[in-house]
Parts: sequence; structure tokens; C-alpha cells
Amino acid sequence: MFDEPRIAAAMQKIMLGIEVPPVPFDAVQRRIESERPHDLRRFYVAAAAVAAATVLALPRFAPGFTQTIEQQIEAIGHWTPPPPAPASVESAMRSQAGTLAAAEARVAFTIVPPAGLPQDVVSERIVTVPTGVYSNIAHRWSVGAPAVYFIYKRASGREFTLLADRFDPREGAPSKRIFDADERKWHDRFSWRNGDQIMSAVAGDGFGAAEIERIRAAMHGALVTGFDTHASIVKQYRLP
Amino acid sequence: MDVERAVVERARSGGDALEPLIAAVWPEAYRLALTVLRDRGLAEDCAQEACAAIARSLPSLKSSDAFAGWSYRIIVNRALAVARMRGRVEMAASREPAVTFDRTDAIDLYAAMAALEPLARAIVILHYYAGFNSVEIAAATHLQPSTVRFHLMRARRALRDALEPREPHSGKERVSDVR
Repeated sequence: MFDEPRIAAAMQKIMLGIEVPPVPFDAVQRRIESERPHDLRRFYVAAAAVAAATVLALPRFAPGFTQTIEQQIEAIGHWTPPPPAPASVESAMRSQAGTLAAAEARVAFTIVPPAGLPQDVVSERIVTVPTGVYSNIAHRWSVGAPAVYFIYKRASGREFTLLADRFDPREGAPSKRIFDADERKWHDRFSWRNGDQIMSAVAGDGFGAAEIERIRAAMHGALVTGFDTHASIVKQYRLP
Repeated sequence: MDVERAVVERARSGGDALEPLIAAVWPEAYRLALTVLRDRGLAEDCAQEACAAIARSLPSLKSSDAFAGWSYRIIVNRALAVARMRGRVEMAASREPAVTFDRTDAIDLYAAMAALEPLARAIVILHYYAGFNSVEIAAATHLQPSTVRFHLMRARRALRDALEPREPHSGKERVSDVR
């Protein structure tokens, strides 16, 4: 009979039988140094996949939004943000404002522009910005494909942003919530698909969840259910 | 985890004083990560991350007496985060860690645990090795205690199914070695 005390005793043997490598003081020290709090102020949006999880980043001017796949913000210390992107990647993430046609020429997906916008929208800007992509596997930054930002100003002066990016099944669905690194609080995030485009919006100071839902419905977008998990890729979006 | 209170207290000042703490935590961090992840490379990476997180978060630890449970929580969460990131960790023979123990219950249990999900393995380790109860495991893993008890019950059942001697005509195979 394999009873509880025997399981506990066997577990002790398992753990004590494991050969432990030497203590990597230097490596641990480097990690301590590389995970200073300022990294948490970088802007990320998370996305998860069934096989290969991915983190996407959402653009904001200020306050910045950081979205991880983890729901528990107290667990932010349990998620290791990527190191800062190198200057070569940062410099490549230059925004280009223009028309919808100009944006279409720059991206590798079919843009489905927003519809069903709030009636008090008074202006629109369309901007494309290359993304920064960090691999948690290779521990390397690279420059990714551009994403399109639809930035709207309301009569009240407030702005809101809709982010359109190419839907990549390998990246999977984005995460459910987004963390505002400046305010230190979570916001719900909404994502929907139209063909090979995935659009994201965050309910915040610019517009609310009901308004976002009206936009999605008017676009006939397929709601994408978010995930809460860790990811293997981080995409950094910079607000223009 | 056997870490002297004085070591924890001294480590709060940071710098070189962290080294004795890291030296004390490292074996447990590695063992726990390896048992959950079953991959030496991942376990080493995870244990390094956990040690760094423990060192960084030390100022938030209210009582040094609570260090053991607190650090287990950090290590387990790191390991589970890595497991989630990778999806189900494959149990290919090449991934099996170097583990040396008697050919007794331990070897059967180790093999049987390979069939469990990383979360279930973490719960089993916290319960049977670290001595956590379901409420403590729930706090460590951000689950409800009832969910922990459910996982624990299923894990026990799975381990028993794998470990109990094969009965005649039962069709069950006994796990008798680590592949």
C-alpha cells in the first residue's frame, strides 16, 4: 500500500537525491541588477497562445500601459519584464503619420478601419510604428512589423486609441487585462479579429467598455478571448 | 527550507550579505524547479530567477521567521510561470534530470510524477515536501483552497494508480523505473 507517509518519505528522497549545480552567484547578481523597477514602466500588452505564448504591447502616450498575461498584479514581481530594447531597436521604432492608404502600404495585413465610433469624435490620426519584439527564449530584441494606431480625439479633449496589428496564430490571443504601470492598476482589454487583423482597445480615460463593444460590433469583429499565462515573446508598441 | 534567521536578517542589508542567503536558497530553488519542470536548463534558469526575486523582494518580507514559506511561494510561482510559458513540459528521456536515489518508493514516485501536470507536481511538492496545507498552497499558487484540495486529490489518485502493484487482470502497468 502506498500511503501518505510513504509518499512524503519518498518525496524527501527525491528532493535530496537531486544533484544541485554550484551556486551561480554572478548570474543571480546580474539578474538582480537587470530587474530594477524602472523596467516595469515599459509598455507591454500580453498575448497567449495554445502552443507558443506571445506578449504584445499596447501603445500609449501617458500614462503607459503594461499588460502582462498574469492577472495578479502583486505577481508583477513574478513576471520578468524584458530588458530595455537596445538603441538600434528603439531608433527603428519611428512613427509615420499618414492616410489609411499609406498605412495599408506599410503593413502586411488587410486593414479593417474602425467603425461605430462615438459621435463626439472630432479628429482622427493614423500612425504606423514598427514594433519591438523580445524573445524570452533567445533573450534577444529585434524589430518587428509595423502596427497601425487609430488615435481619436473627442469633443471633451480626451483621446483614445485603437491598435491594429497582424493576427498571427502563433502568437495567439492577447491577454485579458492590461496594467497601467504609472497608475499601478489593471484595466480590461478587448480584442477582436477581422480577417488577419487583430484590433485591441483598453477601457480607460478615453472611452469605456460599452463604447468599445459598439465599435467591435459595428466592425463585425470576432471577439477574441484573452488568456492569462506567461509568454515566450514580448512585443513592444510605442505610442506615436 | 533550513535558512537561519540571522542569515535572512543580514541579507536585508543587500550587497555581499546576500551571498549566504542565495547559497542557502539555491539548492531548494533548483530542486523544486527541477521537480516541477523536469528540465535541467529550465530549472537552473528558473532557480536563478527565483533567487534574484527573493533577493529583490526581501525588503517586503515582514518577518524573517516567515522566510521559508515566503521563498517557497516565490520559487513555485516562478516554476509554474515557466511551465505555463512553455506549455506542457515534455517528459522525453533526454530531459530527465540526473537524480540519484535508492530503487525504492522514490524512484516509483518520481516516475509517476512525470505524468502529472506541472501545477499538480508543484502542489504535491508543497504538500508532501514543504509541508504546506491546502490553505497555504492556495495562497502560494493563487488558487482557491478547494481547488488545491481537488488537485491534490487527483494527484494522489494518479500516484496511487501508478504506484500500487499491478493486480491480476487489472491491465495496469507498474511504473518501475525512471526513463
